[in-house]
Amino acid sequence: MFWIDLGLLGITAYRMVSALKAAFTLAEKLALTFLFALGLKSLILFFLIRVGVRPYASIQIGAVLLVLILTLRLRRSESASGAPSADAEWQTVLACLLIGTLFLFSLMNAWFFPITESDAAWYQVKSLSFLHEVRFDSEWVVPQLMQYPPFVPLLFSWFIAFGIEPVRMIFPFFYLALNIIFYCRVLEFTGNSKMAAMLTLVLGTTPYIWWHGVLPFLDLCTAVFYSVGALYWFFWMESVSQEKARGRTLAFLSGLFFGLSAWVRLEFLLYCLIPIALTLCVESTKDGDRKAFLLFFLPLLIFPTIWFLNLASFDFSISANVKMVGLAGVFAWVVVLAFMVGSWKLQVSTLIKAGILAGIIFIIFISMDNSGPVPGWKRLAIAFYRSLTVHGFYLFTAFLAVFIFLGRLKNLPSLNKLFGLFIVFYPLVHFAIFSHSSPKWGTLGEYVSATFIHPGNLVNLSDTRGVMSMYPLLLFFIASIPAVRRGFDDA
Amino acid sequence: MPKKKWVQNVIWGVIFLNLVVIVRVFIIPRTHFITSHFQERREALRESSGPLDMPNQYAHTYRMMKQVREMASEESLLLLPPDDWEFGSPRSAVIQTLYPRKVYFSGDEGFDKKLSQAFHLKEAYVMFNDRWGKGLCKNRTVKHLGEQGFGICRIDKN
Repeated sequence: MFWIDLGLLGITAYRMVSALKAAFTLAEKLALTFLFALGLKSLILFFLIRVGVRPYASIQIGAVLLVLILTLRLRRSESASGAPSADAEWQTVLACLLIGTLFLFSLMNAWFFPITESDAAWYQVKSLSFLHEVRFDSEWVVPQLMQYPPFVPLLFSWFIAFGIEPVRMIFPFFYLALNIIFYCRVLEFTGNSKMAAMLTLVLGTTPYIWWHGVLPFLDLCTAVFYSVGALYWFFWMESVSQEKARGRTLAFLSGLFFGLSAWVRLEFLLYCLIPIALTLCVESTKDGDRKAFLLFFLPLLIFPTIWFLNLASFDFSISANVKMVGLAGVFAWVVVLAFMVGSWKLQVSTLIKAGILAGIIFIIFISMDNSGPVPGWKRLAIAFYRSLTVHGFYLFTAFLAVFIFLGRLKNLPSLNKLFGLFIVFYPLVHFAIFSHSSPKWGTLGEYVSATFIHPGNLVNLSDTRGVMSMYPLLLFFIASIPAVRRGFDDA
Repeated sequence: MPKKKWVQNVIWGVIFLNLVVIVRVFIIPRTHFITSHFQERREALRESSGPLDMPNQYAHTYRMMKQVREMASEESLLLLPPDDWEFGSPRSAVIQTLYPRKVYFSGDEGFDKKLSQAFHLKEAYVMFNDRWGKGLCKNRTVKHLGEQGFGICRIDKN
């Protein structure tokens, strides 16, 4: 039964991907199919449970079949046949072999190890309650975990409904999909298969990212969705106005994946404020395509909105942090609607000034806030220290950031500079989030001790996991640095 | 060696060092663990120490809960000590193993009410440890759960 459902889901997702009006290689199409399939499956399960239908295996198959019938109206995109093909450099072959081997090893681990990690055990409890109680607010789940978006628990409940026990099998595929899409995007961007292969090898061998391919947590999924969303965002911005259909496709993909990142971890709605602001800046400077604009913002905002509406129906009080993220969501809707309706323009310089002002106000507000167990100024100091040191866990990959300081960035095309703002704003948003929330330990000394004496206590904290999304963006940005490009001129 | 090659050399260096870490920290220890536990069932793996990079924090809890699950039916109610006996809170591991049995921990909201109701139910148990619940099992048949101080008894109307 599971294989029938998986087959139908795969065909449905593949039909959707094939209808996209942009040229993708077969490998990228398959990676996109995987991401589409899981997004679709989670939505189907969410709506079944929301309307009170117990998602038995047969019902799930019926629902997927229904969506498949709807996709029969979709036509294959003709442009798909014109996909670029890579010259098989030996580096590309090596990348395929190494990343393929790492993927197979993580698959074996995912199959072998049962769920025993605390958070993942909660996701399994949530998935069991979705299946047996047909509700999202089971009394057996602690309130904090209940407020987490349902993506991963819904996928667990899919496996459990079909009697498949190794539920963590989805995570290695996220790892593989990230590497495939990253390779294809760098290849399209640079036209240099050697460079694409080597940067993909850096990404795929980053120990922390590979490790999360075997761990049943939310963070690799968010990292994949967010970074893939950012990559397609770049190509959307790059697409010229004559390529409207392609631009719309890329806008939709970008918005969809950003939205899915918040469908996995709600605070990613805050990180999504970066592409929202950057898009408003770019759209202000040119006669943008309103349809593409809508195709970007609707999926981006709809996923977290669905979850907030669902949370509002729960019979308990939502935590202050979640309310704050909800306010950010409302703010994003208001800004986007104001932009759509009015003739409001946003310049990058205005954005930077507004960001600096908001940052100053935020720092003053937090440093004066002594309501929590840790004084505000201490929270700021700890968050600052942590925001710098978390990158140590990304080891040698983080070291490649030195390329940014070696290259002449003023020679970069303005679009690449704009993409570089992701690398600037992402750590700032990260710092803001973790200076607002209460730290695990109350003193900076405990953090310093944990960093250098017991790093095992820090390696899997949510702030360390949270920067995973930044690394594919950092490596992609490195591909645009002239000094790095010159280093591959012989290819 | 051409001067521009240094970029590629740096990247190759990073790839090599990354691979060394993956192999040394993850692949070798995990392979060793998998080969030494290959014959074990998934249930037994829950009670193992887990891989070095992600030690199983709740091995003792899984060991006890397996026994509890074998004796308590899915309709039963279970009353447990405060959830602080293993690495922070073992609540997730307990509920994960015992679901859909109704599980309440001492100190939870409404716990006392559940305790008073338990004596009139068809099937209810108290799990005790050194700090909580021993008195409730006085004069009842007790099963020890193999971990220091932990045991369980039936307290329902039967």
